[in-house]
Amino acid sequence: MKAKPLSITFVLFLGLAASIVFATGVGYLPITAGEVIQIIWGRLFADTYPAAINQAFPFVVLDVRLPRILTAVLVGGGLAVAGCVFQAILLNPLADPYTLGISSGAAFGASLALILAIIGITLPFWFSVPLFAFLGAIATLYAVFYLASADTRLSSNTLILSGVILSAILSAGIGFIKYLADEEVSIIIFWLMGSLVGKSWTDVVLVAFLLAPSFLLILYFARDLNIMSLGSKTSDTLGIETARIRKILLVSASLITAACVSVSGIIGFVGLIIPHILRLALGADNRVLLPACFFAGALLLLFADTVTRAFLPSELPIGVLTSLIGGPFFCYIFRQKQLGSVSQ
Amino acid sequence: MSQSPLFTMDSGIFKYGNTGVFDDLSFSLRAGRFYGLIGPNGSGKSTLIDLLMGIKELSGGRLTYKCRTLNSYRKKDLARHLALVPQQITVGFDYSVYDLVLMGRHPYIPRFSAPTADDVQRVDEALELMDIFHLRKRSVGTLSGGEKQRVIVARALAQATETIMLDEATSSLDIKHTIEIMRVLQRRVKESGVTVLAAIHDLNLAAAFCEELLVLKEGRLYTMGKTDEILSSALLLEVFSVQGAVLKDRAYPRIEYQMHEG
Repeated sequence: MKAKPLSITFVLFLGLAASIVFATGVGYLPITAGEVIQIIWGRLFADTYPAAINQAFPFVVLDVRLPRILTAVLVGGGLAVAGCVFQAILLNPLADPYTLGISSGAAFGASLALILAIIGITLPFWFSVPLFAFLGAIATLYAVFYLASADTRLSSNTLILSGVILSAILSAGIGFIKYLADEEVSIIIFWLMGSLVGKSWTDVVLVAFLLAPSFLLILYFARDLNIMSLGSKTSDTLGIETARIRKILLVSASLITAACVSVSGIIGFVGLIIPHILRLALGADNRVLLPACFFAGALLLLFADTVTRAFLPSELPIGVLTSLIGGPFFCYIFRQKQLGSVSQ
Repeated sequence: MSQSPLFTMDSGIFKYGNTGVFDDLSFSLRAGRFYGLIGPNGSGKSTLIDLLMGIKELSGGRLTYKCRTLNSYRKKDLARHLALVPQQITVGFDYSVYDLVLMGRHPYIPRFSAPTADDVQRVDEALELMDIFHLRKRSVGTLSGGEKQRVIVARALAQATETIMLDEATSSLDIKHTIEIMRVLQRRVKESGVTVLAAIHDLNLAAAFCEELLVLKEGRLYTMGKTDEILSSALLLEVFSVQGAVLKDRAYPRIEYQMHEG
């Protein structure tokens, strides 16, 4: 019945696949798309590479560029999905992991994990960083809701204001940790600015491992999420365990945010822009919207990362770039919403 | 008339914060009737509907639906028995009229399944009944308040439940559509044995359509009974603090308020 949204989603998927190949070829050493495909094919199925390909290329493609590109894809997709869930649950087009302060909470948690190492508690980083990021994200989520709870309708402005206040405190907290741990300064700054430099296969696996089950869980409840947009009273009477499903979805979206932040730092506004634009193009049905958000978010971050990696003279932190694009967009939606034309 | 009641509330207590809304409320509702719920603002009409819908839980006492405690039903099962038309609705995102009415079929459509021909037929029927079939492709955000409310009633009709509750559902509608909705509900009661409980502000509307009235005053059930038996000028004065006469010269009682001073 809904042929158009499905075909748009399919086009996004094809576009993403093509962009991954294209982006892998772009950089200091230009590699053609055909060679990229041959190298990936060779690695996966043949274990040898065609003789015509430069000896250095397989290393560049498989060990340098692809891990970073796939991290960008997963982080961009994950943030867009998390944003879509926050927006749908809170009935609020301005909600996303960044504006709600969840990203900052995750980044604060992640930098706390570094402090642990300094005071002598040694846990492997691949374990402690995502764990602390998740705890930070959930704690921030609770704090935002607590701050906003006086306003029983959880209106946009109250929630976003709570998120911004907490974000400011948490950023200062990260700054303080940076001051305590001056040897690790560069890595902590990276969490504040967001970056995908030097990502490895460990990062790809880590994000994929946390993202996949959360995303599947979210898709499982996508139809319930549609009905929850009629308000909790109505969705209750339509047979939905609204309170329970809301909790499950908020925790899943926070887990995705934490996974993304623990490998890439704070990358703002991807989760705001993508669901907003796609909802205008595809309608509000989350069963269609969520997969489309993943592909489109992945495309956007891959594009932005490829620009900073290959086209700018010196590498700009990706979080700076997305905020430069996303900030004005946020202003635009905010203004539209104040004028009452986004959601009545 | 030996059938057991549909709902039975036995010494129901409900507290909201520290203040009690209901204290020792007892009554029962029978299937296949059109009940009206009347009372001044703040008398607890909406709260009572929330309790009967299973949205809120009693703090004490017992509420049964078909001889089983209401809260022992799973939400999904309850949604096939009871439908609610709330006072107003905010639709967070822009769904089409059709999609919104189709949401009424949610309790029947298994996860990851498409709606069946039966679901589609019931949705079309509900759209026709509410006179909004021509609007089905419009997005809900572009509708007027009255059109939106008819969409919500259509959604409840598509839910195909034995009981429909309305929480002042017609207070934002014009008189034509108010009467139309009440007629559709009346027909469902008479032809399909559906039970309706409608919280209504307009006493003339309640008098015209409801067979029985529940009268709430300050969280107590002031009285309950056949509409033409219990409506009286004494009730108007004691419950609503207004002067008026109840005229019984037609098929249903009419109320004439004394509007001016003196």
